[in-house]
Amino acid sequence: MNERLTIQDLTDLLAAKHSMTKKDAEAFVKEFFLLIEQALESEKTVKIKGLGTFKLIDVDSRESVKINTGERFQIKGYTKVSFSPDANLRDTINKPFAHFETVVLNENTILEDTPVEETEEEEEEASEEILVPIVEDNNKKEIQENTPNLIIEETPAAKEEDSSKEANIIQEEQTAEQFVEAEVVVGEPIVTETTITEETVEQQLKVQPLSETNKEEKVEQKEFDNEENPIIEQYQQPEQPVKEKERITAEQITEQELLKANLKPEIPIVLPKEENTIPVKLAQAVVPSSEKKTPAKETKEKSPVPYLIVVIILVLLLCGGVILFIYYPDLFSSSSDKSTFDMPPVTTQSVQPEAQLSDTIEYKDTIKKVTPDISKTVVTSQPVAKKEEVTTPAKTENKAVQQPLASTYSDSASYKIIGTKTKYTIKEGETLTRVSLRFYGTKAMWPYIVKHNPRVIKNPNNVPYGTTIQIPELAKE
Amino acid sequence: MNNKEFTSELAERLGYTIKDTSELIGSLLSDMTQKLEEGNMIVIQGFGSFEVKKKTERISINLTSKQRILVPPKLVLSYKPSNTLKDKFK
Repeated sequence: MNERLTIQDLTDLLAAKHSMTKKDAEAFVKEFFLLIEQALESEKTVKIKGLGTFKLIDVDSRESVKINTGERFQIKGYTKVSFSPDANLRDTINKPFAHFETVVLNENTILEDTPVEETEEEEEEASEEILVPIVEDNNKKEIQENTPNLIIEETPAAKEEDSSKEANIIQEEQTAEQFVEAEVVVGEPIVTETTITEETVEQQLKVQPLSETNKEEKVEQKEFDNEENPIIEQYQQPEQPVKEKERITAEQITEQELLKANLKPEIPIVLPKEENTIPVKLAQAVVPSSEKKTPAKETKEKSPVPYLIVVIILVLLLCGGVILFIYYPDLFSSSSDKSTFDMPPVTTQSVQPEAQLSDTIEYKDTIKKVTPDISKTVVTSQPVAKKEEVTTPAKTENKAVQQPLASTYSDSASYKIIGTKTKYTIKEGETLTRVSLRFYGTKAMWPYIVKHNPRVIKNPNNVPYGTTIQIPELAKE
Repeated sequence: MNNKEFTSELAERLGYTIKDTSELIGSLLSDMTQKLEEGNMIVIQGFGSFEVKKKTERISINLTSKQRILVPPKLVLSYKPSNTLKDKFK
């Protein structure tokens, strides 16, 4: 390879092939090329089969410019020898590259490959990372708060995917929330009355009887939920008491939690506030939803038609969910985990009233947190199809998810404050739950922060940013 | 001068028959082709050199139709006349 062959090599080859003396062979080769030369001289073209055509080409004289001086001068015409190989020879030489063909390019053809594969991999990674916290915490709100953290660690490319995922989550949450709202709307006329009774009951602190009475109603309600095709009128009536009971239990839980955790005199001060604020909010709109939503709710209140539509949509959702589950099992599992958190309050309490009391407060919390996010991030108009896919799976998987939830959150009541860990100034957009997540790894610890800062935190639902709070050191009881 | 004329002329000069000459020419050229295919360079003193060169792919544009055409890479046999030959024809 890449040797320089001379006449000597050619004569050797030729001599070996034809059993002729090297001398003869050399004479032949030399004569061969000499003849070409002479023939060129005499006839200007020599065509040799198997090699090609040699030609003498006249080059006209032309003008040029000397590079250094810029002076014009004449290049004299001359003749040059050109060689064009025989078609056969050309093809044999080009054999290694023969399979290439000329291609006509489109105008927009991109010649450099775009790194499509990389982004796909990152997307998968991102989705995995999102799934992990779900499994660990079984808490929807945590997922939301975890995702931003994850984003920081990931590459900017992954960020985009994360945000889109988040958007999905938010959509799911919103749909779930709307569902809850719709239910509430139906029962709303009664709400004012019930809240009053709630308060009185709470003041007496008769926890047990109340939960018992409501239990029966819940059982009914649960049946409807499972059937998925509730008759509207029946649905409305049981629905309302359930909601109320959620509130009540939630408040009771806060009381219990605080009582268990600490016996300080501040507790009573905090508790009444919570009791007051929560019922009021409940009466208005179970979920403290964004401003956009409340007017919509009022319109719904007046006519039963929207409710019918909701029921129809639910059926469609179920179909959509099944299809989604078949084709995208991964997406389904993650979304269902998230969305279950909005749904459980309806069914869970009837099943495990005592054990899960502590849960309900978490649920409420999630709902509250979610709504502001929606108003910020999600554009008002949303495709119905997406909603459908999400809400239905939530219902079907409710029961399965309940158990782990109960176990993780019942723990949150069994801590006591043993001192001040550090001070922390709340930043803009931060909530107590977010602070709790930052310091304790779970959002469930926010009541302890409230308890530890009775003077600073007037209203735990609205802590102005810039407020410096003390983060309590917690120890398990 | 075409191939036939060339062969007869060569046979006459060397005293071989035309048949033998064409045979010899054929084997000489096939040897050369084989060596060139292997990537070797053939240099003939006083005449010039034969070499296989690789032309890289390129995009050519058809001026009339404005079409862009991707021309694939290819191997080309190039002949470079020796200086003595060049001077002779100048």
